[in-house]
Amino acid sequence: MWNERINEFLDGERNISEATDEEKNEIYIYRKIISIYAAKMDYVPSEEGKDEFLRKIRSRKKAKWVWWSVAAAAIFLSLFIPLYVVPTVKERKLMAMEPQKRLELKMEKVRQINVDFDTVRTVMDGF
Amino acid sequence: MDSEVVYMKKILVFVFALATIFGITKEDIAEVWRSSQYVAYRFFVEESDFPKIRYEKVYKNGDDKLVFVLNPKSLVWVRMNEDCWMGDKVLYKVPSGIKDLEDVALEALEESTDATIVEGDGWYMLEYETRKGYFKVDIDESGIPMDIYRKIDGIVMKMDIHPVLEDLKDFKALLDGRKLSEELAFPKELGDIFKIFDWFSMKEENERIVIKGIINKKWHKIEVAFRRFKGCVKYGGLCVKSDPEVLKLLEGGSD
Repeated sequence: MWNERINEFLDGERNISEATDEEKNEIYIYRKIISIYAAKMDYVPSEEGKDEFLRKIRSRKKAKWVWWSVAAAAIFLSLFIPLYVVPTVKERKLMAMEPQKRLELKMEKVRQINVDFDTVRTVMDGF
Repeated sequence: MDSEVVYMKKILVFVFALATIFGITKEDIAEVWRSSQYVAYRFFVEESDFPKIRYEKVYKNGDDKLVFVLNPKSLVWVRMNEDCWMGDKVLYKVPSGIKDLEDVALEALEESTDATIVEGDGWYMLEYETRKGYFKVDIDESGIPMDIYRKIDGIVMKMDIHPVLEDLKDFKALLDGRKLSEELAFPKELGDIFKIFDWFSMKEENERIVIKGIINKKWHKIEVAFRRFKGCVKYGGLCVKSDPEVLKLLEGGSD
């Protein structure tokens, strides 16, 4: 168990001069790692760094809402398009008609009367 | 019907006899004209931006009238006991009533205050002016008009009447099986709009009825539709757009 051996050197139970070259190398690497961790633990970011870090977090949160909005819009459009944009069977039939017939049908809807205006105008000379 | 005609003729002769003795007035002529009975062919011409020509056969029995329009198209209208119908095979009830040039001229004569009467040999020439325009009428002593002329703001209307010797039969028999429907020819509100005009013309434009006409010697325009459009106001089941003067008249009713 090399860890136990290394611990003996690090705890001072054995003198470092007794260590082999390999053990010396391992002790060096271990100490280096500890020093790097210690440096990391002591690290205090600058105000700019902190802002940059928070901005990244916020943008990630925002991105989540953008994706939700896109999904909602897609659902809404998928319902809206068939209802209002895609012509109904009745509208398709109307579009397939001759323009004159279509106009007559349209006018009929507007008139809602039993006698055409030309007849009215023909017989009425005023009031 | 024949005995009624003889009776009416006797009354007319009596009225004219009295009028001749005491001097004829426009009221006398209007009364005889209103109650006159005749069968005639009539030719009507209107000179305006929307010219109109009509050739027709008329049966008049007092206020009741049956008219067979022969040209420019075949159609029938009838007035019986103040109710009017128009159409071809089926006649629909006209909510506003129908007035031809003769009816307008007679009403104007009754309203007029300054009618000039020129007496001829068995006929009279009348000249008068009201808000409905200037009128010149040649009428015979039995109350049958021969010529009617009307001018209102540059629009000229003329009617030539040529009576024929034909017995006045019952209108229902003359209608020859045509059905008198209780369905309206057009909405009542539209009839109310027609009635505010002394003269009008109309056309369809962008799914709207555009009526241009004269009210009290002034030109007005009114747009009517069966659904909402920009700038319109509701009038019964219709949406209308016009100047405030016309809208006020509509609110207050016709007449």
